[in-house]
Amino acid sequence: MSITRAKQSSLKTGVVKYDNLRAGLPFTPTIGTATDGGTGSTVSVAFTTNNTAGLTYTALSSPGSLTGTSTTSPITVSGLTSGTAYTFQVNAANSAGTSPYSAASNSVTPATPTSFESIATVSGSSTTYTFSSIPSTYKSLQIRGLSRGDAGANGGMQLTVNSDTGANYGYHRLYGNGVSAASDGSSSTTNIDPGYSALGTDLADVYAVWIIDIHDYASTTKNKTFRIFTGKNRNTTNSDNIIQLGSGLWRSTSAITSITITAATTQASSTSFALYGIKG
Amino acid sequence: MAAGATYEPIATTTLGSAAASITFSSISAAYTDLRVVLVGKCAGNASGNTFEFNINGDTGSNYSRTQLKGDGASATSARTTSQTSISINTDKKLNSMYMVTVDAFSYAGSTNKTFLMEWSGDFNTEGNVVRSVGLYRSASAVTSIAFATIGNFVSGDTATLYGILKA
Repeated sequence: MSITRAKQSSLKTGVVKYDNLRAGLPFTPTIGTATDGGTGSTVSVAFTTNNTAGLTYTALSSPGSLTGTSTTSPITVSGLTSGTAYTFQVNAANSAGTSPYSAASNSVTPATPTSFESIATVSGSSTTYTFSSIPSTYKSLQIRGLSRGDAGANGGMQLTVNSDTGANYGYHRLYGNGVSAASDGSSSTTNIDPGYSALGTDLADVYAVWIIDIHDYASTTKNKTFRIFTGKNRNTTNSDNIIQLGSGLWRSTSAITSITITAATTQASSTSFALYGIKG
Repeated sequence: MAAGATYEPIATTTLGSAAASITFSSISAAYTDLRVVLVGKCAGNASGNTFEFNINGDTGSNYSRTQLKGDGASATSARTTSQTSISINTDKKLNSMYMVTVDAFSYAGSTNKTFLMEWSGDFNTEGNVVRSVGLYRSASAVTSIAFATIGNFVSGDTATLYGILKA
């Protein structure tokens, strides 16, 4: 009678399982999929097992021999190095001892974590630009914008949040028009007015840019502060230019879930505002 | 709202010896905005348009800028137009460190190009902080940026170009 190598292996495995069962040792888990934990230093290792509850499972990395333990699948292994490829094996332990390690998992490389993510963009010819349903998953927000008017008169742009039109805003501005520098501000206003002469992008040949940072925007215990860096240059003349720094305050402890930028007149189609989230 | 990772480093230059310029070329149009962060050491004392940059090798009179400057004693503002570069008018002191960031908005778009600049330098007993807005009158996509400074850049000066992509 002949016996194949596969059958030999199967019989050997059965002997090991029988030996484990007789000794009270847990069976070796079956390795599942290892996936990047998204933090740059963690991987989640899944496995399956026929063992009963009450066991502790350990995942072992290669290279590094870093371990993570859990009583259920998956196991998180921490302390890994982003950019390095790892495989993992899992064993099971109880009071009687520890099973052999499983086969190796797939290879997984923790990616370098990012802390700056694009969330949404509003653009085109309009008088209002609104970001709504802003997730609370970031520490800070940044709006980067490029605006250009298409009307013949100066107007302005104002910023409100959560559709609040009450007198709950304040701001201060330091600005220069190319000739002199000055500062002003206002409190208990119905919006944050980020621009001297407004952000005056309504003239057709004005090219304005913005960077607005909003820190701790999802806090439910603090008022919200804004940092505004903006400027504009005209194409055909150097008058009406502005470079400006600003601070803003919204007196509310509500998390910011929407932001609206309102222009006094319709902006050109090239106008675009992009919202980014920064993780803390 | 979909979120996507962005703010990616595109290129970094760290000088091994003094150089008249630092240039980023063959810039991909794959992003929405660009940001350059440059940290340098002053090679000597200087005043005036001590830091400047050109786009796409264009040295025509196609640039303008408006700036706001504080020197610890007063705040001033100045502007230039029809210049051959976008400049930052400030002071430099021998061996002092400074940092510059330049944001280029919609750099691959088909309208004129707008920039925000931040220059910060502290010389112990003196210092300057400058914030500027610049305009490059060209509808061409920005594919290269060349920085220059009075007194040259020195060994160890470093500049990094980042790309930022909107959703």
